[in-house]
Amino acid sequence: MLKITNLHASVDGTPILKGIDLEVRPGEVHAIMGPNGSGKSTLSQVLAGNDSYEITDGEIILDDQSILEMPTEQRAREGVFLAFQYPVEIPGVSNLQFLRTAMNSIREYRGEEEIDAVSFMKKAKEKIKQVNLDPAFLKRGVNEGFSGGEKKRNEIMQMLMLEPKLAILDETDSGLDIDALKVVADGVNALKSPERSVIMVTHYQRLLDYIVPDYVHVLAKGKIIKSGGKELALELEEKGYGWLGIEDE
Amino acid sequence: MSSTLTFPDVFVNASDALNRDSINTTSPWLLAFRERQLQQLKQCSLPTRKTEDWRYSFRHLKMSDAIAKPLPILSLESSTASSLDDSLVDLGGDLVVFVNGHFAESKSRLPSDASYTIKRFSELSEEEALQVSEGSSSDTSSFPFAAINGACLADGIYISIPKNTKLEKPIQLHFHAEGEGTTTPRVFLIAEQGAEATLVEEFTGATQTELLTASVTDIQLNAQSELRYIRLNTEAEQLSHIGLTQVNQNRDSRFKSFCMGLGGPVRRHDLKIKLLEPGAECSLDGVCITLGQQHYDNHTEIEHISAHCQSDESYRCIAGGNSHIVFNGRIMIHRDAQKTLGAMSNKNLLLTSNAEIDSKPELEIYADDVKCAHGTTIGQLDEEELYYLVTRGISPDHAATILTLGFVNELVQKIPNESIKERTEARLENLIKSAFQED
Repeated sequence: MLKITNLHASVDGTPILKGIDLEVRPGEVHAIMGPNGSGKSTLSQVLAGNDSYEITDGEIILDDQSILEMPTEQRAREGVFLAFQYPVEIPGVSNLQFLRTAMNSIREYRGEEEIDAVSFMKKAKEKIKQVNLDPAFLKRGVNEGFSGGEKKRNEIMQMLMLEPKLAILDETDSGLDIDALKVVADGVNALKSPERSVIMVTHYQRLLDYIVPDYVHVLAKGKIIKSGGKELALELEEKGYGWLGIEDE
Repeated sequence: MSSTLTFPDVFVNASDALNRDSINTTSPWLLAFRERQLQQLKQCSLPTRKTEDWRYSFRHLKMSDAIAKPLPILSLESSTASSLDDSLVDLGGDLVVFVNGHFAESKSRLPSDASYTIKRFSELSEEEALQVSEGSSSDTSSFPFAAINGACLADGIYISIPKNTKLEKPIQLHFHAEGEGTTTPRVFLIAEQGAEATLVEEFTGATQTELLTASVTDIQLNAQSELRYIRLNTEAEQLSHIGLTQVNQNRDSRFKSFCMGLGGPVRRHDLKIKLLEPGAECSLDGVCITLGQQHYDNHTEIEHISAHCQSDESYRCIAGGNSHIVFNGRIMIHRDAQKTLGAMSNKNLLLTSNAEIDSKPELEIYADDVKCAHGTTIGQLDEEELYYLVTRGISPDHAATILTLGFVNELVQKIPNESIKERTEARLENLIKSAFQED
């Protein structure tokens, strides 16, 4: 599914990622943990195709093709989805219009017909219920006036609509109360399938109680310094990052 | 583009020709009205580079003397008819169509009952004529194009809505223009106490030559009346239009406008409101978009003359290509206008680095117990918002179109007529799409 080799990336000339190697196979859930400033969000953004980051070395292969030269929208159409840590508010553009345009852009790329209005509405209403948001939110501007938790749930709602094959959750758990966290986790678990993979970037172990990862990686200073199974997350929770020779800033 | 206009002489000389259709009118008041306006026109001078009111737009004011003549008379059976029919969207209410300054009876639909009065200036009774004379824009020195309208006036439309009459359907006025020359549409509307109505003014047309529309609309709102005013300055881009809408509001009256402006060689709309008595309220919305080499100038002026009045204004402008938009919003709060509430917002979006937007809010406050806020922003599309849409599979061009539409959507959604709202949305979408394809 995804193979990252020796990935180096910098922003404004400052190196952030300094040689990441990571392989995610279909159906797997990977958690990436690490202290602030370790490069977790950079990795998410680089995978999605944010062009404020410069790839200085390495390779990212998605389903046997390199995506380094692939524009952001094409990556999305190929099935990459990034749930943002801080989703932007877009007043004037309704959630419905936005979602429908996104779905149809992806369908067109795959050579499929546009989704008809009735099926679209049915699906949208079903998914918004699934993340426990009021259906009235569909008509509001994208994230406009949403609370932090509502924004995160809206990200999950979009993910459920677009059904990506690789979902990247960038600290989707931060700032959520326990109920919202469960909603997010249920959404991700509902999407899980043998063909789909998930990368969860998180600061806390808490999310991993609800979405059980197959692998846990510790990212520090732009490199993965330790990988293990789900028990690694518990160990980190208990001991902090100090025992790995790094400090949580 | 063309030689310089010698103004106003060229219009003074042409005024007889311009109003040829009513030169033999038996309506003495119209002749007298026109004569007064002609005298005022003679006192006017051409705006110069130093005329503050034309400071930003002066450079677009290029017309040749050839413009000072009437538009040709068009047969409604000719090709005009098809271009008129294409542009005319029937809103289902009463409809008055003017083509090149002539009342097109066969295209119009006048009210079947006598719930209110709508007629031509040349048909007015003495009493009605007096209303028009007294209620018409008099201060032409600051706006000479209103004097051109008056001096060259062939005929106008008079609307009077009686006391406590509520008109459910909009009154639709459609002005279509083609050819070379000048046309001078003029409207006078009076809403008596407690009356309610919607007035739609739409300007359409096309030309291969030079065409100027110099329009004037005077509105008198008596106590507790309400007028929703929709103005669509949506002619083809070859046409120039300099227009004035003037509103006098009495006690507890309400005026709510939506003005849509598309660019042209020189386009300007002045909207002047006088809140004359306590409790009067106005709410002015405007959307304006220019592309290519186009120009559009929005001038608004709200005069708070009396206490306890309220004004709320929101204009959003989008400039692409090498185009130029001006927003000049003035709020004047007179000494006795205590407890005034005023709010003015003007947000602008530049689609290219060559586009220009000049925004000039002006507040003059002489009362000491008022709340008055104003804000202006000029910016480009937000990179973060664009990126967010693109990460969902939407192409960058499409994302830019969606965001640009979103920028004006809030005001478009408030248009108090479904048919016009849908049409405006579709039109904006096409224009914005073309703006991003240009690049």
